[in-house]
Amino acid sequence: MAVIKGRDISFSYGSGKKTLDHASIRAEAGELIALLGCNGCGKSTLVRHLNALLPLQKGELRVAGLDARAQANCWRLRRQCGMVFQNPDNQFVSSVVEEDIAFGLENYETPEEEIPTRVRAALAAVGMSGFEKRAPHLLSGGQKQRVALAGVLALNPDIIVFDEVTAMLDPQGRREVLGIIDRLRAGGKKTLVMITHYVEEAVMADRVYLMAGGNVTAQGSPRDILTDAALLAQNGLLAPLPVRMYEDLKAAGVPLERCPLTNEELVEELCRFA
Amino acid sequence: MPFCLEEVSFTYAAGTPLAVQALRGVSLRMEAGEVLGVMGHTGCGKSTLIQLLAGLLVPTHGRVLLDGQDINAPGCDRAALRARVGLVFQYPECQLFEITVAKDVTFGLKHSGLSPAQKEERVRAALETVGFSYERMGAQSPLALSGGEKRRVAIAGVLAARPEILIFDEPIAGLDPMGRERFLALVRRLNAQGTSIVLVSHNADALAQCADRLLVLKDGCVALEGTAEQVFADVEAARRLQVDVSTPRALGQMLTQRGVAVPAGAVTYEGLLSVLKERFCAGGNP
Repeated sequence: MAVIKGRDISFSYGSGKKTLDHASIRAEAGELIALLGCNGCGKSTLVRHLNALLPLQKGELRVAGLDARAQANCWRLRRQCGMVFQNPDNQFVSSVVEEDIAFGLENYETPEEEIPTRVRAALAAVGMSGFEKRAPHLLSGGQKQRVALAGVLALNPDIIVFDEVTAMLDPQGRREVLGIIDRLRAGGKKTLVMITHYVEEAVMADRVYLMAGGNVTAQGSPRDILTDAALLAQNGLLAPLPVRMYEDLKAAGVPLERCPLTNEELVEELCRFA
Repeated sequence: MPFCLEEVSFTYAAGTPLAVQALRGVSLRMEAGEVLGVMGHTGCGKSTLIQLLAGLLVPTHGRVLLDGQDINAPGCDRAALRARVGLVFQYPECQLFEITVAKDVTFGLKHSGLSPAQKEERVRAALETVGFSYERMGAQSPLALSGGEKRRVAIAGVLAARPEILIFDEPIAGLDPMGRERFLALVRRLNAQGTSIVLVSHNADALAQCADRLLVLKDGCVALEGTAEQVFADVEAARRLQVDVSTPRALGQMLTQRGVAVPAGAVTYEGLLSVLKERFCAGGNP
C-alpha cells in the first residue's frame, strides 16, 4: 500500500521560477526510499510537502491516507510525518534532553502520566537511555541527532523524513545515526524517506529516486540507478567511487565483468580478476 | 607570513566548575601558501584551534604569532588581523541577511575605507571567484537561493576582504558531489593565487585531494601530523584516533589484505587508479 503518493507536484517560492516542476513520488509502507540530486534540485522542497511545511500549490499528494490539499489535514500530516534536519543544533527547544523530547508530546496533549514512559522508550530506541537529564547542546553531533530523532519517534509517526541528517557528523556519528535508520528499516513499521549526498547511504535504500531541475528524473533499485554512471552524470551527480573505478579501468583495457556498487564488491571483482 | 601556535592551551570557562580544557599545549607552524587540513573526532579541539588562529579566542596559555607578532599582545592591530585572516564558519549560509547578494557580499567591507567603486570591484571579483556573475546574481535575494548557492555567496563575502589566510570550518558538509569538486577546485585556485588555507573537515577524501599537510587532533593535542600519505599510512592508527582514512586508501588496504598489494601512498582516486592500471593492464599483469 502506498503511504506516500504524490503526482505532478509543482511549487514556486514566489520568484516565478519553479522549484518543483511536476515531480512525482511514491513510497510503499515500510519502505526506505532515498532521494538523490544536486543542490537546488528540489529535494528538500519536495519532502517539505509531506508534512505540510509547504502548502501544495499544484498537483496531488496523499500522505498516510490524508489529502495534502485540504488545509484541515495540515496538523494531522505533521503528526503522521516526522522530520529530522541537517543541523542538530537547530532542533532543540529545551536545555534538558527529556524535556526536549517531551515537548512534542505535551503539545499534542498526551496524558501527563504517559509522557515519561514514551520519553524513555524513544531514548531507548535510539540507544540514548541514561541521557535523560543531560544538556542537548553538550552532546556529540551523533548523539544530538539521535536525540532529535527520539523527539520525532516519541510522537510515533508513520513516516520519518531524514533531510541530510549525517552531513554535519564525524565518521562515528554518521555510523551511529545510519545504524539507527537501518534498524528502523529492519523493523518495517515506519516508512522512511532519506535525502543524502552520500552514495554509500543511498545504497541502504529499497528504492532510489533521482531528482534534477525540480523533477523526479529516474527511480529504481540502488544497483540499477547508482551503477549507471551516464544517468547520474545527466542528473549532475557523480557515480560512486567503485563505479567510476570500474569504468576507468575498463576504459584502460582491464576486462572486469560486473560493475561493483560498494567498496567490498570492487575489491571482490579486482581479486577475482587478479 | 608564517603563522604559528606556540604551546597553546585553551580552557573554556576557566576558573569555574564548568571549566573544559579544549587544547593542551599545541604547537604548529604554517608556511605561506600552504593548504593545511585539520581532522579529528567531535570535541577534539578543531573549532577552538581555528578560532584561536582567527583571533576570536585568546589562548589561556601560549601565543599565536603572525609574522612573528603576537596577535593577542596589547597594541596589535586587530582590525588589520581581521582583514588578513578570513574565517568561513560552518554553515556560513546561515549568516546571510541582506536584501541582495551584492549588498551581502559588500557588508564586510563597510568599514574598509574603500571607495564605492573599489568595493564594487572587490565584490564583482569575489562573486566571479565562486563562479557567479555579478550582473546575473548581484540583485537577487540571497535567501531565495539554493543551499549550495548560498554557501558560495557567503564564501564570496569573506573573499571580498582579500584575506591572505583563509580558514574553512567543515566547508563541504551538505554539498553535492559536484559541489564538493567545485569547492576543492576553488581551494586550489585560491591557493595558486597565493592564499594560505586551513581546511577543517571530516571528509578524508577531500583532504587527501587538496591538503599539503594534515593535522589530526585528539583530546586537544596534535596526535598525528604529516602529508596525507603519511597520516593515512597506518589505517588502524587513524581509526584509533576516530578519523577515517580516504576511501582510496581504505580500498588499497582491503586489496593488500587480499593479496593484491597496493602501496600506502595511494590515497587519492588518481593514485589508486594508476596503481591498479599498472597492475592489471595488458603487459603490467604479473
